[in-house]
Amino acid sequence: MVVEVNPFDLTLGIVYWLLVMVAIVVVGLIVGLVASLAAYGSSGPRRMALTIQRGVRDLTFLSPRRIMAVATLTFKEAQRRKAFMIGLLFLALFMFGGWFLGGAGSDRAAKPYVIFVMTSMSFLLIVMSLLVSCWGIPADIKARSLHTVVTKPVRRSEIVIGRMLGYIGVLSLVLAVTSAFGYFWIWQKVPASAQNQLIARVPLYANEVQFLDRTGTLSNTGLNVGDIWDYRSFIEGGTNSRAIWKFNNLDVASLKRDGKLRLEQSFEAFRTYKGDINQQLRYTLSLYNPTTKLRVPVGTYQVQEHSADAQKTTVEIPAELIYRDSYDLDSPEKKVQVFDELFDNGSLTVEVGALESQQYIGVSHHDMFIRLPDRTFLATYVKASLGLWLLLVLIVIIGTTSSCFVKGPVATILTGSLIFVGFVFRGRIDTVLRDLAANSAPIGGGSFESLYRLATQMNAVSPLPENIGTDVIKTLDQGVFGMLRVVNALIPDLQYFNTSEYPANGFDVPWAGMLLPSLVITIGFLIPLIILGYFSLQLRELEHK
Amino acid sequence: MNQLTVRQRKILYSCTAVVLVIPIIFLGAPAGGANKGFLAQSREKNDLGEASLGDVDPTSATMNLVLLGMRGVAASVLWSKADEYKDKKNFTQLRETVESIILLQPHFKTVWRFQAWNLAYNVSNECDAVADRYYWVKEGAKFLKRGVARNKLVPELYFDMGTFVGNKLGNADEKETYRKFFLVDPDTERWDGGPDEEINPKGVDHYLVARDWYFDANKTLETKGVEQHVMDLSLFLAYPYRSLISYAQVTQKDGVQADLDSMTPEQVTAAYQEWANNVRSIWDQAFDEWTNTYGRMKFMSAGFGMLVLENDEAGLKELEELGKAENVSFEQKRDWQDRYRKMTSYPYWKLHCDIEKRESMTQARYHLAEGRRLYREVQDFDGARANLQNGLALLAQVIQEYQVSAQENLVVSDEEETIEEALKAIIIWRHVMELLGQPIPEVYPLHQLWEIPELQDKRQDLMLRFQQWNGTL
Repeated sequence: MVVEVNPFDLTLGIVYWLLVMVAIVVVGLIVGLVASLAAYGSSGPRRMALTIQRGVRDLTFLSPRRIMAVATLTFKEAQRRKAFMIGLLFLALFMFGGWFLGGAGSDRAAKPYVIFVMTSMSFLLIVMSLLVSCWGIPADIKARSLHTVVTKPVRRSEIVIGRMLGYIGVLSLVLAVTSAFGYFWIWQKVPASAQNQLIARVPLYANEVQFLDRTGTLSNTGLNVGDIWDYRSFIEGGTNSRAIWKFNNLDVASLKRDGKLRLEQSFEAFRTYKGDINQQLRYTLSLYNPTTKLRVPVGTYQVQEHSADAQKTTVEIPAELIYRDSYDLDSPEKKVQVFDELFDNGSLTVEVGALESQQYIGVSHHDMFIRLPDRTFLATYVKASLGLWLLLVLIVIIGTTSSCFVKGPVATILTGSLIFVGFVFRGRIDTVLRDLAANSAPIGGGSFESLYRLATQMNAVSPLPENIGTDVIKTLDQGVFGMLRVVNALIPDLQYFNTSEYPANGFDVPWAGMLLPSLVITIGFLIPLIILGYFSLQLRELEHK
Repeated sequence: MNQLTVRQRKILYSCTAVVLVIPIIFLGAPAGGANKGFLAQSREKNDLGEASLGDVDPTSATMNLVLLGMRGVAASVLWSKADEYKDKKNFTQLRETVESIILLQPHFKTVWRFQAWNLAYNVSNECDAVADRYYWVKEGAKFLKRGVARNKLVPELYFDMGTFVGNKLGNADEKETYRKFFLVDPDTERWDGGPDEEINPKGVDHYLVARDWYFDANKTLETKGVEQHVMDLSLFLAYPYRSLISYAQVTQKDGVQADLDSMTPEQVTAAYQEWANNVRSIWDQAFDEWTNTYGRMKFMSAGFGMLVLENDEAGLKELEELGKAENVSFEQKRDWQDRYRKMTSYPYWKLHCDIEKRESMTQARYHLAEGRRLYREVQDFDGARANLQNGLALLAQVIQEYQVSAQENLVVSDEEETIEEALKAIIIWRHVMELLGQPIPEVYPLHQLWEIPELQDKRQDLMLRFQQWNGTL
């Protein structure tokens, strides 16, 4: 499976979050001070201090009983408004979805069904979460039912939190029912011949990958064969060129208990000449112990390019391996205890070479992994649903907070835009900012420079004329880049919430790689948004519809 | 500012809505009944209705309505996604995205052509296993077949189907394996050792399936207002007949499909006879269709009215009549006929079919192939020599029949492939003679061909290739 999600650094994330929080608090205080001075004159700062004091009290002394009461009311209200009818829409999609999916001859017959279920759930529940969370409080204000609540001994922070919990409860219930339905639907619809693709492989990726070039010299990448996608680099066949994966800190005892070592690959083949077209390209696999210098050839295997059959792409190495370390078939057979003699202090080195001269094999970091015992499809499906649940929680938090200070339609557009930008443009913004850090400016420049190039039909790499106009454009673009940095810091990074590819490709959803970042991001937004929601509702004129 | 009451405003809105609905009712009235709607009439007149364009897909029509004006944006995003999936080799997602694109753009022929080519040529090329490559070629063809069903009046789509099934399978590096797969699909579990019935329902050779598609493409052109934009019409129309020629060539090249070494001489003769009869009947048919059907077809030239390609007595008479009807002189028509005959290589294929349909030529091809096989696979050098000598003698006899003057022979001047075949056979025969320790006689069949000075470069090149093939270089 192709893994393009950036690794999540928890410590760095928390530090970054703290910095952003401090910046927001400082900006908030300055804006609040200016606003209070403008509204109340010299008594403004005192009123502001009182508001903050009351805010600290309201946000600290929370009553779980009152929060639960608001949450229960929210749940009942959603029930009364027939929010659960969305489930029927989901049912209708499932009834007809099977008509358009899959092909009997497809190699990855299970994938479209899993993707369909996960996509339908995401699509419908995201829309539902947007609508329920963004329209609830404004509707209450408009109907003046919120007046009844705020006149009761309940803090506004409790209203915000209770509302969020209520919406989360509603969505959790719908998600639980639809995902359970979806699970059984998948098992029913996926052809019997492809049901072996419904598994959850648990990959253990290498800590580092290195390459040897054709002369055997160490390098960080292999060859570039001109592929547009630089995910993989290539090793040349019939030479000393190798790709070397180093797995560290392995739990050897646990691996030993399985009685075999399973290595799975998803390499790519690249031919420079036709060769024997009826034979796939082959790779050589060796295990190496750098301390004892023992190198054991395991065998040669077909690349099995793009195969969805995990059996074909997995090499099972028995605990006791018999091998010959010479091409001479009469050379004596040797025996090696894989877990005792080839593991070096909890580390394993795997070397892969291409067999045929002038033919190449493309590899990437995640193309070779130790396959731990598989988990059930249910496990990965539940985890993927959990990823979706965290996304829904995030939307509810943002939606409820925004509905505290703007009306329903505006809150929906605001929240929807944040989610859309987070999903669609976040990656692009990251790339631009990375280019900016590396080259001082991305190719073609910023918005103003691009506009100039478009208008003058100038290509993206020609230098701009050296004059004052260029200076103005570059200065304006710096402002745009600054705004882009601010936007990047404020919008959620949603790449970790998209977990559907894992069950679709028969992989377990990784806790550390996907779910933990999603959870941390959700909590990271929860805290400041509850505070923002509380102050918005506290300072809002409820009489103003 | 607004002086109207709520009630008055409601009445005003209702009246406006009613006024706006009236033209919609008239414009959108159905085709049947006394009052035919303007749009329905226009749709019928210009054949623009979904049903007249091809099969109607209710999902697609609904999707286009639901998206309101955002269809273009959605289609652009999907095209971009499809491209990204192709680059990232995520073929399953690519396939699904392409499905979504056709829901949005079912009558945009470029979608069908571009994405079908993408699957059959670019995606198949990414796979290392031949069976996988064949699978994606079929996927492209099946995708295009659905496009044909949805767009029945687009000749380009029929033509592309012919190209996929004919040229793609017949010209690829893996052509021999592909041809076998076309008759016995590698997915034996699904097709039970037979062909994939979705693209080869009759279980015949791929060139014959391609020929049917090309015929359909030509037939589409008979519909008023339908044009093709692939190539000149005369070339486009030739494809079904060229497919039959290709079928004759591959059947001839396949040779006798039997284990000749384990057969008695009588069985060998019977097997040969069966194969030879089949090959000759295909060549006969190919010659007949090329000269009597294609050659007499009247087609619109690019700038000089209607033309026919055949220039025998009947063909010239037809041309004269066409000239009279168009008020153009016979000489001018002849001039344009000559140009089109050259462009379509009409005389070349006519000559080729004429040569190949001869019994002596079929015998010559058999003996030359058998001589090569006995030399290469069986190492029966005596048998190889005898067959090669026989084949060369028969070929010499055929070539002699096309001697038009002392200096000019039509086979030597026009049939490059046949001459190459003869030179290859001489090279192997000479090598076999060496191996048998026998001297090369001064006079042997086609020795004049071996000595033609203009063919010296060709000879040297073929000798080099023979050494490579033989593993002696």
